[in-house]
Amino acid sequence: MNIQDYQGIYLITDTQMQDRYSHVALADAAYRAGVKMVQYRAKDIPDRKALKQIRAITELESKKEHLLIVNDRSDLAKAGGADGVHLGQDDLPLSATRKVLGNEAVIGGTASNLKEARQVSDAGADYVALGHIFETSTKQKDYEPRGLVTLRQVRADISGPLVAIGGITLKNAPEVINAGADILAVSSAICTADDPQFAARTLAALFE
Amino acid sequence: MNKPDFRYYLITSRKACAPRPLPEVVGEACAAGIKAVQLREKDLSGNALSQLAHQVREVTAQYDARFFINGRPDVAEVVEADGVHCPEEGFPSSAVRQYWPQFSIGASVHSLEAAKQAEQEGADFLLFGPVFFTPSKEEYGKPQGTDRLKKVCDGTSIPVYAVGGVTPAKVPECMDSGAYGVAGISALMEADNIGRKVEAFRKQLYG
Repeated sequence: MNIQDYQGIYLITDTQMQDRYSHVALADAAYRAGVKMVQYRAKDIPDRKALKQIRAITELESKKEHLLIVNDRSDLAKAGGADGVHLGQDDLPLSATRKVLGNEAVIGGTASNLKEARQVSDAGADYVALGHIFETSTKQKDYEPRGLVTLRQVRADISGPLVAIGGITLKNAPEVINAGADILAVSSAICTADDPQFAARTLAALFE
Repeated sequence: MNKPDFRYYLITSRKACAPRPLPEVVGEACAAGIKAVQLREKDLSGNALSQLAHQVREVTAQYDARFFINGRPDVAEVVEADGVHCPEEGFPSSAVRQYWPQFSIGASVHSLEAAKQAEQEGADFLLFGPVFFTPSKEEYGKPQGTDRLKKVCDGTSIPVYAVGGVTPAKVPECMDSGAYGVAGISALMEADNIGRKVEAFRKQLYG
């Protein structure tokens, strides 16, 4: 799948807010529901185990040509057979990551304002993830939600794929799409839903 | 692979050598004769780790010392280190061997079973410990002693370095147990006179 053409949901797996479903089960549910982009994000899991989980996701029948992105770690992405990596502001620089993963890899970066969004884009990222848009309990943040105003600002400036992240729900998703986001990254909206696959399908349907 | 060209494996701790900057302390150790350094700063983010790794790579290259990065083959590739050091539950040796064949691989193990597995997965050498008591390795439990060290040395065919509370005086019993060399964090990182401490280890290791 070419990320340039993707308009849809981007699931970020989480097993800290909930432990009913594994990373692999969540990814499988999402891919089956029409979510074509999943990010493996695991904190406090030893690398040996994380690598097994990443490989298990890449081997899912539902994964097919869909994308698997690994949070932070290009080495886990490479050895796990994932399609790319998502970089926060504290992670390895994009140029270094590109060196490890090569030109085919999908590398995205986090930005919290227009300036960072430009930097991420100029550094050669395949997508810019702007957030957090709304209040979120998934990640501790030391700054205020960016809201749709910043999202529109960044949209006017960045031509490549723009991911909106943070506090996105089925309810507020339509206005985020209207504000110009190509891709909506969600975690709790799917991971903590009674039925993750149903929640993923409902969200994915917003783009149909 | 040829056996490693070092008998002492220095493991870093920037907190142990603070307030002195780590690259400076590593440089002093290398100037005194240390030939292998493992950067082990697990709490650093990828960006901070790679910046520090660049500096330590520069220092180690200056003294032609081998440079290993703990658990991060991506960082090792970016800074052109000589190898990766794999913790027992960390990035597996087999994955490093497969995707980064250029690297030499050290693996930390805490049992004979894990030692055999690491050898099978392609590690070039092992770190076994803690052999003696050391506050920095308390997380790994009680000291394993030289009897278990000997079992690991006898049960594997790659070089084994003894780690954990190894002082110069304790080097002979490690070597008698079959160790190829020794490794340490606090012995050098916290030393008042690094040169003298390296010399004390050198005398025991090389006679």
